[in-house]
Formats: sequence, structure tokens, C-alpha cells
Amino acid sequence: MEAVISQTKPFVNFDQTQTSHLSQDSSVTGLLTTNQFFAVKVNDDIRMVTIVRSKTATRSSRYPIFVKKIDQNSNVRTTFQKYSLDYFQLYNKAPWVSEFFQECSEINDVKTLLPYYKKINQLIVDGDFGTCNLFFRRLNTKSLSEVLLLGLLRLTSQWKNNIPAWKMHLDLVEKELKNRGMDSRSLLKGLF
Amino acid sequence: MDYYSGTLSNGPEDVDVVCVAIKKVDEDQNHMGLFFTDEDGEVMLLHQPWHYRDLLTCFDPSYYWFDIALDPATKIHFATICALIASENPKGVPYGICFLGGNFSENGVYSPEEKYAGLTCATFVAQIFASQDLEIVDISLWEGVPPDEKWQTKILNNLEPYYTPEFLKYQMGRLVEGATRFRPEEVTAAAILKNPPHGPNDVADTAKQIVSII
Repeated sequence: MEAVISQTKPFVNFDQTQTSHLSQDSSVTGLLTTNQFFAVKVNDDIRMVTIVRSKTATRSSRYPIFVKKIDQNSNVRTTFQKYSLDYFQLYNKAPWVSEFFQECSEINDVKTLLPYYKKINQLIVDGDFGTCNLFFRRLNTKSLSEVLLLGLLRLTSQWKNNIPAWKMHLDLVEKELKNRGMDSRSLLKGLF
Repeated sequence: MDYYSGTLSNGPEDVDVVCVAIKKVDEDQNHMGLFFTDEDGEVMLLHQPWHYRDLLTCFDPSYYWFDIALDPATKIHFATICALIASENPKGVPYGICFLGGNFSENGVYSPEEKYAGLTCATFVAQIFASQDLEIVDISLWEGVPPDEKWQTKILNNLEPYYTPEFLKYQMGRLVEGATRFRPEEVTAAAILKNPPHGPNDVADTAKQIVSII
């Protein structure tokens, strides 16, 4: 089976990733750009296949990707996705982000928020602000629930000086709240 | 001012995600905390009962409760912070008579600036709001309020068996210096009134109303 990705944009946002099902020993060709990589997702575990380095990549480069022996179990759910290198680095440190980014528009009650607040807490307790920063850089405000738009900033504001992307995220949240017709200044009171 | 109580035939289903709860303990003493809906959908009380005691107890209908002045999304975030605080401080937090020095980090861990600082039931609630950059009391406006030395002395006498000598020495020092008392009804009023943070004059009338209700 061969899956051909036709992607003309220079960067693929997470929500624009394409998936197709692969069988074992499949080969895939796709269009990659700088610092993107192809990966296979075996159930919920992302496995990197290749990275395109800046020296070799061009917007029109087409690279053959070979995915071999993904799993011996033929019933395994295997999908093919394209991610940025940033995302892969983030995923390596915090695998829970995969589920978070899939669910983030629907995380809007204590039950669904609490596990992620604990995970973010742990990054802070560990002093892993680099991963926190990667996480904030990957947040797409358009896809975040209203609670997450406000809550992630409040949860982490004490460490905003350790998280360079925090301020940029605050600005994006302010714009997004306005786009949703909400009183951003009132909702973000105390965070500026 | 909308208020609810088990004595008024209200139940946990009338709690709107998170609210401030207060009850009369005796003629000179009220106690407060926060009712919130936890991850299992149960309404729980998060409060500071005493020196290093469990912060979480079941819904108690003997409390009166009042909606807090937060938008719906921030209420859900705040309720999650309540659950986080209960989870991150399983042994409770120290009791102390002074607001300053005893605070939570944003992620719910009690992390006092002063080693032997502690919180009352009222400053516990105020500090939870402050930890999320949602200050409800303006500390600078309370500085001129005379300390309640009689109440504070009584509390420290009661706490003496639970304190280490170092803890008692620190708290006695704060008593001598003069520590502002934030009363439960004042902090309850500060949580329910719009446009926080509030000073003592802002909350005085509402606090009196609360006392008359409970």
C-alpha cells in the first residue's frame, strides 16, 4: 500500500495532519518540509520514522518513507501522520499531549481538566519549563475550550517568566476571546 | 444577594460548580470554605479546619452558601483548582493567625513564603483566589484595621498543643507585631461582591447581612 501526501503549505499544523491506514511493511511517499517528520502511530504510541533536515528539505521535496515491521499484530490500529519536530520533542517528554490536542475543544469540566492540570503541575514541579514552553507554543487557541483558554494561563502565570511562549499565548487568547464575542479584559483580569 | 442552605431545603444540586460556604460555629465564631463539584460530580467542602487537618469533607447542609462573582468558565477552572489543592495537600496545611506569608502556588501546593506561616479558614479561601490571580481582598486596604488580639490569643492558646515550639514562637511574634484578622463573613462578602479586590469598607455591609442570615 502506498499513501501519497499532497501538501503544498510550508508548515503543517497539527490539526491539518493527514492520516491513512498502513499495513505492515508499507512504504509511503510524502511531501515534507524543514523540521517535519513522518511518523506512524501504533495505537496511541507515536513512533518517528524520519525527519527532514533543513539542509536537504525544500518546499517541493518529495521523500520516500519506508515503514517497516510496525507491529507483528495485524490487528493493531496503525495510522500515518505528519508532525513538526517541535511536536515530536514535546511528545517525547509529555506523551499525554497527543490526547490533549485531540480533546482540547471538549475539556471543559473538572473531570476532564484535572488530569491535565496534574500533568502540567508535574512539569512545573520538575522544573521542566522547556517542555512547558513547547506545550504553550503548540496550543492552538481556536481549538481550545473556553475553560482551557482561561485556565491554562491562570494555572501557570506564576512561572510566566520561565515560559517564553506564555505572553504570546496570552495575546492570542485575548484575540480569540474577542473573536468569540467575549469580554477578554474582564475574563483575563489579573493576568496582564 | 442569593443564598442557599440545607435548612432552606436546598441540596448539593443547587451548588453552581463552586461557591463560598459559611456557617455559625458559636456566637463569636463563624467558619467558611468552598463548596465545589469534584471530578466525580460530588459536591465537596474544601476548607481549613485546623492545623494540618484534612482539607476535604463531604457536602454539609448546615452551611449557607453564596454564588461567587466569577464567569462560568473561570468557575470550572476554580473548581478544578479546589480539587487540585485537596489532592496536592493531603496532610492539610498549617493554621496561623496572619494572612501574610502563607500562600498557595498556582498549581495548588501550599508553599509559604514564611516557614512558620499558616492560614485561618478565611485567609485559606482568600489565598486560593489570590493563587489564581483572582484577588478578592486588597491587602493594602486592610492594613489599618486594628488586630483582634483577643480572638487571636484564644486561637493560639488552643493551637499550642499542636504547634512545634518554633511554630508557636513565630505565631506569637506575629500576634505581638499586630496581625490583621480577616473574618469569615468579610472574606465571604469579598468573594460574592463584583469588581474585586475589596477593602474592609467595601465588604462591611454585606458581611453584616451574611451574619444576620446565618
